[in-house]
Amino acid sequence: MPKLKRTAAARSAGVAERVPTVPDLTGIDLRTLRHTEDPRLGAAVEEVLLDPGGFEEIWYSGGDDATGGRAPDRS
Amino acid sequence: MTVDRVDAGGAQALTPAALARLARTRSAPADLDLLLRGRRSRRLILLKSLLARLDRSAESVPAAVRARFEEHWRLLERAEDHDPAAVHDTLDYPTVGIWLARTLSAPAGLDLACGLGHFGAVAAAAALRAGTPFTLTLNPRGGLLALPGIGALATPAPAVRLTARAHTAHLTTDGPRGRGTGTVLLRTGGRVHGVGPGWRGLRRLPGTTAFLDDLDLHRAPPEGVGHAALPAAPRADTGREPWPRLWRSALALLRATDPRRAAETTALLRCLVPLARSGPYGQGARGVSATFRAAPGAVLATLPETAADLAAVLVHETQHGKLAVLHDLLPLHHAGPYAAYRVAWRPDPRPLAGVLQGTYAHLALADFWGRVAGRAGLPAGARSAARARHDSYRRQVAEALPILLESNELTPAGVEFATGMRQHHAGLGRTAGPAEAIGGPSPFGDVQ
Repeated sequence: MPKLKRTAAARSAGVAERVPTVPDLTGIDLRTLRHTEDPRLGAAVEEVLLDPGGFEEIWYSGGDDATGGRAPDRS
Repeated sequence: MTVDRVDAGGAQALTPAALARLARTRSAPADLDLLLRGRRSRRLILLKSLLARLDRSAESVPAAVRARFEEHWRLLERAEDHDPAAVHDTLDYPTVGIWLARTLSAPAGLDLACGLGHFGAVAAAAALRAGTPFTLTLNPRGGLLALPGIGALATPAPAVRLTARAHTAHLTTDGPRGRGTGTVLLRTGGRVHGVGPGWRGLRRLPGTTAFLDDLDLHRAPPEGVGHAALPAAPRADTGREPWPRLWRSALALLRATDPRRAAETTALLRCLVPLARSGPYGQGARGVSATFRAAPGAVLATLPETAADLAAVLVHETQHGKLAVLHDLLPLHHAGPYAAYRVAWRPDPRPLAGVLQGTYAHLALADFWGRVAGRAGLPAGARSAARARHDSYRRQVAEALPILLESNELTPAGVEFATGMRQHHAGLGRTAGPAEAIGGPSPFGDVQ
């Protein structure tokens, strides 16, 4: 089974070897999701837990400002 | 344990042709499938991350809270056995993403316990849609029990009991006057409708499967949106606003102007979330729209003045959601959060990620307004206004593209993507005709 390649590997590999950082999980059920120790999924989880606040990023525009950034009290 | 069904690439791998198409701001049907799969995979990773967090620090919440979480998880698994599509569709709903992101960031203890409390509503919504029998007691928050993608029950009761069978569910409360018979939910064709005191169902946006979501507790970040900290608008306000009429006209305009972009919008949009016109400190704002990274498929917006404005909001925010998923699938940059670049749409420096997001959104807006300006039969004033917007956005993108292409923070895929945007930008210049005089920002509020 191919291993999930990290961004750095994808950068040097070029177009022919593009590998997503988010593995395709659309074929697995919730029980499997819970119990799998798949290394690619594990790497993606570690990335989330390293910076969970990054997923609260919001892009907004209009009004008196045009901003993309994390929620005001989370930056 | 590794699982063969966790696919490292395969159907989710982006081809150079798909990347080139997406760089031109519009998706082919296969690209939409890719984006939807990527969106779902990211959602499942957030869910798995929450499980991992709880497994690693058992003391982060009281045992009773953890036991409830496990009860809700078992319900979700049971519902998936019954109807996987209904469960996946519920988990994919954008407000579940906002909730997950918030809960993952919540400090251990009361905040995390409070966040986990909403998981029961997520599981219940999924089980209701799946037609899975269950009995569950949930605690409303702030007088509201919100079921993602279905609706909400307004009740002063501290607890609501859901007793669900295959096609009906009864919601009962223990009130001061004794046990009250509450709302009845009916499941037909995979959809759930409710009747009864205090129940409010989500309203469909005409002509789509998306909702106007003015009910969910997690439809907007609690600190609000923008400098005015705009909160989500409540049903009491949105019920008086012409959202359905504006939506119909905006979708008709998109379909008449650019059928492919209209198809993309309806395929990716799950909900439109109205924002209030003023924040908690009395500061008002107009023309505000937003996309939450963890909730692509939700467009947050104040009430636009015109249908054309709403169409532009949809184009703009759809770009942000697409790029968030695309960057998940194939990293386009390795930039840090340091704000180093000046752009036309903001007075302060931006990080490269912000430049990329803004460029992509504004390129689509330049494309959109150019197509509007080219429509037959458009009154001269409207044509001139559309062309001014096209020119303004196009000029902004022209200034931003070299920032991207000359930075050393793009990945090779990011360089390809930016190059594709540059080619599309050049094509817009060839087709849009003579430029209007530009004395300032576009009449839209999102250009500074």
